[in-house]
Amino acid sequence: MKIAALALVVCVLAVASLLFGSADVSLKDLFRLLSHNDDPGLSTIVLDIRLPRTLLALLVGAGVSASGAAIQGMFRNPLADPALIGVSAGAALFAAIYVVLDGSQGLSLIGMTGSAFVGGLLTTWIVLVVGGRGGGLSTILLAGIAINAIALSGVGMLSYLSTDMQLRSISFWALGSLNGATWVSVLLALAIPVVVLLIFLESRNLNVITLGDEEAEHLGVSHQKLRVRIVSLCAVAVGIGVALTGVIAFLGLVVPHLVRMTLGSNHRTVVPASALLGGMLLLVADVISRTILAPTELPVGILTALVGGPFFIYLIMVEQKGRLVL
Amino acid sequence: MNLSARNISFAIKDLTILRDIDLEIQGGKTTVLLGPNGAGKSTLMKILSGYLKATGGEVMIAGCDPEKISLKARARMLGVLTQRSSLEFPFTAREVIAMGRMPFGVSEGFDEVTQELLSMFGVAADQSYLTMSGGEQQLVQLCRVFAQVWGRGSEAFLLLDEPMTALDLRYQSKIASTLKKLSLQGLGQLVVMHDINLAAELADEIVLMSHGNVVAKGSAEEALKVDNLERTFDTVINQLGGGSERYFRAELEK
Repeated sequence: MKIAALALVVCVLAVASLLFGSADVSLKDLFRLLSHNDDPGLSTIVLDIRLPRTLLALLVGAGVSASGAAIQGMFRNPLADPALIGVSAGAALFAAIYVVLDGSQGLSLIGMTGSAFVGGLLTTWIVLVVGGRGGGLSTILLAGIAINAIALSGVGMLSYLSTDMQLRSISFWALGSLNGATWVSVLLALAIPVVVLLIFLESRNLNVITLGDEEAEHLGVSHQKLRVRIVSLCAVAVGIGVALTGVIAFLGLVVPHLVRMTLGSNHRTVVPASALLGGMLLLVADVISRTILAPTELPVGILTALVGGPFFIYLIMVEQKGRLVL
Repeated sequence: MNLSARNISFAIKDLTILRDIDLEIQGGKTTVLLGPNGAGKSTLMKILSGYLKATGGEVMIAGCDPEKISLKARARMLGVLTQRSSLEFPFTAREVIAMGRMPFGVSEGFDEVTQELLSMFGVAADQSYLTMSGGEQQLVQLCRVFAQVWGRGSEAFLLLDEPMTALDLRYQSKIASTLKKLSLQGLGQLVVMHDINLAAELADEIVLMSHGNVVAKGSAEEALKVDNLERTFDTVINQLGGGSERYFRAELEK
């Protein structure tokens, strides 16, 4: 019921988001567009610029947030972030490599996205292989931290070597933006809902793994196999998102947390609600980021970090108050 | 149906934790493992439950090698309470208990078994696990494990590592009576505990362990003797009373 209400709010906001931007579009214009399209300018703004952007925000926000929920459950740590498995840093590194190696000024969406996606998956795979050797969760966590640091130092090194133009591309990408949304990127992002559905199918297993690895095994769930499945699914969902929009900070961390505070911990609720709320918040953040400094745009990653950071501190403080057992 | 361990040894590199342990848990019988901290009781429990693989010897669950039984099938045969569960999320008591029904494909917490356990132990169904006291959390974890074997009779075993930890007297007696009731239904049980006198009351067989070895084994009458207990716990033990009235306690160090 609550999920359905959330879905309805998402739909309303999605339509509303089409009205915001540097050009004025009214609700009447939208109806006109639906009934008989006699204005090519309006059609370009709404159908080719804003609609793909809205859809991309919903899809990427959903993928990152549902992954956050799954990673937090799997690491049994409500403060875990999908970035822990190295996917964002790896994608950033490979995007930077592509920018520096590609001599041309106009970067291709497919080239940049493809290399970022491959980089994200490759780094996650290294984290799994290195971290999996120790067998424990903490080994994966530590491997993730180390490999994150290595990848980001690589990005730093490439930024140092790059030209001003390339540096701008690298840093803009690292800040996260939905500015480049096209129908091609929406098409690529359509894999995200499939992955979110697969994560949802692991909900019961995620519930059980929060009890502990041994406890999960006694309830019929292999923690090792589940770990590989969850990390791989999240790497794909976050990898696509990061590849298409850059790094969107804090969403994967804050959204599942917010859902748990209001709707409880059952992953059968947490995963879909995080996907909906994540999509919704990224959409709202994007609308704000493209209107607040209009006609220029603030990268949405800056906004999510700016709002998400303090809000997260607030969440931690509220949560500690409500707990007896620490 | 039996759960048996033959010649079990376990070592990590040069450190031997268990040496040649033989144990058999029969349906409807309760075996209690007693011993000092670090004696290897929990390790033995992990080996019997199939979580750890022994470095020597063999374990058989109902005549089968546990490695050949799928995790799902094993979860329907064994309910296991470990010493520490690391639940950090605000699940409700109902949700935690219902996790015990997962091997049977039920998990939403409104099934008969979960409802029965909730009302039987007077657990506040919708209270968040994280706002509960240590004893209440232990009770919820126990209910979760009970949910896994409830009504299974001789088709299942219960392996409990220190179930009475943090429980007050009322709940200790309630859990003890539940264990007796389950035993009458044919459920085989292995319980690790530290209360010698409660062990005497519950056990069909007592196994005293120290430094990875079995010191003594037998009925409460046979195994619980002052010299056996002193050898096991390496401390002075006093016996008060005799026969069914006997009571053991460790002498305070001067």
